Amino acid sequence: MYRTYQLVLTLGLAALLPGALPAQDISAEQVLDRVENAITASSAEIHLRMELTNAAGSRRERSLVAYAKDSGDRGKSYIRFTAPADIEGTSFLSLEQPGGGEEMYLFMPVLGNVRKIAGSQKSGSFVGTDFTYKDLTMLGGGSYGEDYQASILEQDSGRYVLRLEPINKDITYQYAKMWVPSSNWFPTKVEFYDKDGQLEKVLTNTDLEKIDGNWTAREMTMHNVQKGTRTVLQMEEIHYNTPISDQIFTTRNMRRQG
Amino acid sequence: MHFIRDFVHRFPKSILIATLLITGFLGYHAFDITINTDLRHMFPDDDPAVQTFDRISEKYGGAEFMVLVLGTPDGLTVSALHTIDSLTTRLGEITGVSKVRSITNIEEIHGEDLTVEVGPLVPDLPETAEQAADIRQKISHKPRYLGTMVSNDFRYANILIQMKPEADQKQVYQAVENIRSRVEANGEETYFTGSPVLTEEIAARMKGDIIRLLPFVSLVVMLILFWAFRSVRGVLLPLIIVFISLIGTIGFSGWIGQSLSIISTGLPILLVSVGSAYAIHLLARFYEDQLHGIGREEAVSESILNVGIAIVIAGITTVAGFSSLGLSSLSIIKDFGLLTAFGILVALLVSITFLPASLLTLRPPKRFVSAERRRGLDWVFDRISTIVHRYPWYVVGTVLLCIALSLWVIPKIQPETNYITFFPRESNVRRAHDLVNAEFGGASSLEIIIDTGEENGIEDPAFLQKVDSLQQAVAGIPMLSHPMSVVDLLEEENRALHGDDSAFDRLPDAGIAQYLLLLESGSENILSDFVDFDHRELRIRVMNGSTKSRDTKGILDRVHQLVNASFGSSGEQVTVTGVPVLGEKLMDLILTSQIRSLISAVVFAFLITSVLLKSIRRGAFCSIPIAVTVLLNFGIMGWSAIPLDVATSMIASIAVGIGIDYSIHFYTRYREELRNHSDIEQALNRAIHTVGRANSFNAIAVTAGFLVLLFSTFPPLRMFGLLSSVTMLLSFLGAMILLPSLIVVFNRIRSTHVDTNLSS
Repeated sequence: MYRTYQLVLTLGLAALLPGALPAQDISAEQVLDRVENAITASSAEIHLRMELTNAAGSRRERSLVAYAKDSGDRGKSYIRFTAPADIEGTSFLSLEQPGGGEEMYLFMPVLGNVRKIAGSQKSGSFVGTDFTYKDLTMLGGGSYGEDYQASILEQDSGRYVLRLEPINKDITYQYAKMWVPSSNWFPTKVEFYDKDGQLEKVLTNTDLEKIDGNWTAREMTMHNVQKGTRTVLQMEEIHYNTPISDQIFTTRNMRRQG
Repeated sequence: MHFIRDFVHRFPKSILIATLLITGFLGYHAFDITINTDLRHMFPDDDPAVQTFDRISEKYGGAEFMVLVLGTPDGLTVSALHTIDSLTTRLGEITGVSKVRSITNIEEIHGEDLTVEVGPLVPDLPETAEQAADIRQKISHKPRYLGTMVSNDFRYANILIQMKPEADQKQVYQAVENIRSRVEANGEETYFTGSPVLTEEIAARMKGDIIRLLPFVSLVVMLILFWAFRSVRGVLLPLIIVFISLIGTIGFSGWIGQSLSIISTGLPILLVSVGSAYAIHLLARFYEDQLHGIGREEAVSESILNVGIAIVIAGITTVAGFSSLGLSSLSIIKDFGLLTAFGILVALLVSITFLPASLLTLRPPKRFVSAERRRGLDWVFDRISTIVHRYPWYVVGTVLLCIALSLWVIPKIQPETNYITFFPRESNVRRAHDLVNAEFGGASSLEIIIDTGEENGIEDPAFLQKVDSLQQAVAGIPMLSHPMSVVDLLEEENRALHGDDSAFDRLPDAGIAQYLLLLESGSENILSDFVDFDHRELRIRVMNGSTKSRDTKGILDRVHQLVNASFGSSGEQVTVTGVPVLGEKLMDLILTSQIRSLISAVVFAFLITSVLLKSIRRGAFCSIPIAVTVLLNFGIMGWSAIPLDVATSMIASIAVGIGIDYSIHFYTRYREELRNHSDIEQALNRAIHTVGRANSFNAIAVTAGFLVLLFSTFPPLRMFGLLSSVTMLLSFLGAMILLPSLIVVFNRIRSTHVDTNLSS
């Protein structure tokens, strides 16, 4: 019900390193810009494991591979399940449209056919995880400036704490809090507060590592504190800026690979 | 008893002050008392039925519903949809509510050409009549919503309020009720029901009626006491005893944090009868002795020594009788029994200390009307004496006949745990209930949980086919309808994925895991209501129109048969739970607990009177009249088709507790008289004329008091009042006619026996 709409944030899979700038007096917008600028690699290929845990502690595991590409101002992403066997080949494709918005497609091997997914799907849970479609389909980069207005809550020599207020009315959060170290502008933690102002989800990025020259979180955890559920993404293999053919991001490819 | 007498004589003022102080302290805590009406509260904490219910509720987000129906006489218009939506939002904000489902927030899987969408059925509220018509059109093609969220003719919209398992039922009820009454004040037509609503309404009505009627009960009792004693203290002292024990008991519960259950609200009425009995007997003896020229101090001593012992025996027996309810496996009956036992103990202690202490402190009375000659009463006692002496065999014979008639119908008594029968037909609650039964198939659900025993076990298409057949079979049982499970979701999804082609409105043949992936997606995980996290078990929800307990049992039996036929031989484990299952369990518990507590109450009474009167024969004399009363009580219930429910099941135990007082008072007086007049018949005659007075004052006061309950607006309370009155009269007659007749018959048999022995 509550959406993490447009908060890719952290899936800053392509964090360009803007260099360790001194934490001087910069505005909240500038901080947000730097975070945004940190996620502008032109392409990424990520093999990841997804672990879902429910309140009772039971676990389910899925593996998937995600491709993202930024061609001009149109982001494209393709996510395909590789395990377990009974869902292998199921895939999602998301294409940003020139006029804003995007199109989403689903391929189910059992159907042997591609279906377009209508809008309201994207802001909901992605296949029962604590992440949303948006979170995962915007692998190529996202823009907070369009959806959020930032203000600085705290700052010291090494980091900023931002308060993000949604300006997009589709976002049902009241606000989010983001921790950004000024050393790499890669957010380490984001808290999402629901419409009653209660903490709903916490995202933590750990195992930061420089891959192909980009700071990357090897492990990302989204914890829904209200439901007690948790989804952990573990990046097993990451390639940045390798050439990915546009043919990958087509419905024909979905069918072929499924 | 000598100790008590000396104690009372030495410290009368201290006793008065101490009693008032303790009462004051407990009275302060009486305000802390709460009433708990939760169905689960009636069961023991570790009851497996409740544990299963809680586990399933916890897993799937609550299996107890309140149902709010909005009348939409013009169909689903723009304004009706807006009202439903605003209600849905406001109800969802209530603490303790886990989910609210209505036509405006329900999720659907929709397909058109090559597009599929999982999302709200009504994504945007309509602004124009055309948009509203579109929504109606859409709903009419979805069998999942017709008859569940919206009535078939669109004239009623259903809002299901699912409660969290740990929710404070009363609070949620109040919050919903507030919202409902505001909407109704705006001219909307609303209906509010569901099992938590029923129990709350019952508690409110019970409490309201008791608070309203208690002054009248007191007034009636006071009038009769005035007729009996013609003195202020004769009226006030018994009532003071009653109120001290009442305040003491409720205050004590509040102090130790024990909440009152729905039936404990009958406690005041009980204490009025028992508490006043002790005072009446003591006062009557006090006046009787003074009339015979004994001084005030000595009269108090004599009363304590002679009547006090009877009061103590009666009190202990009654306390034991109610404590025996503590053996009940039903928490409500157990709590009620122990609480009442405590109340009676207080009444007993106050009666033999506070009461004589007051008599010593007050000025000596000038008149002794209660003990003086009274034509009416004495005429009745003369007749009783005559009957007892001339026709004891007829008395015994008549009673045996009545017992036979009672035994004949007792097996036909119907247990009833469906609270809806407590409400008059024209009441709002009943109308709401009938409407929801007619339009939506009921306000409670039966939950069938099928555990496949292995992860992803439910993804097997063959298994799902079996579930589908089971659902269809279950829906064929009367009063069960609208089964809903992951099967229905998969069918809907299959159709949506095939461009809304109705040919695909069936279970997919393969690839269930892929279908489920899509169902798990979206702003609301609709799958989580019906499938567990591991995809190991699934839940079938079936709406259940509430019925009489007897029918529920039949329905559940058929469900179990069907379940066993489908899954009995395979590895799956099936659990059936839900409010109807708890109701049925409650019925079983009422029956077993009733039988057990009655037997033990009678046995207790017999044992205690035998020990205290130092003879098994005497114990038998005292307990036979109440055993008969209990049997006749059930006979009356059987012949007049009064169902055995949580309230009426109490009466027999009350009869044991209170009824034995009459017998013990009569018997101890008879023994006292026997010491002075060795002739049995003369001793009986004396006892009838002396203790008969106190007994009849008491019986008349209590019966009249109970009859006031006939003015209750609440049928079960009326039934309770009527049955209790009749039971009181029966125990009185049992003590005054049957008991002496038995003594006469026994002695005649024995003397014949002795004569025969002598002559041989």
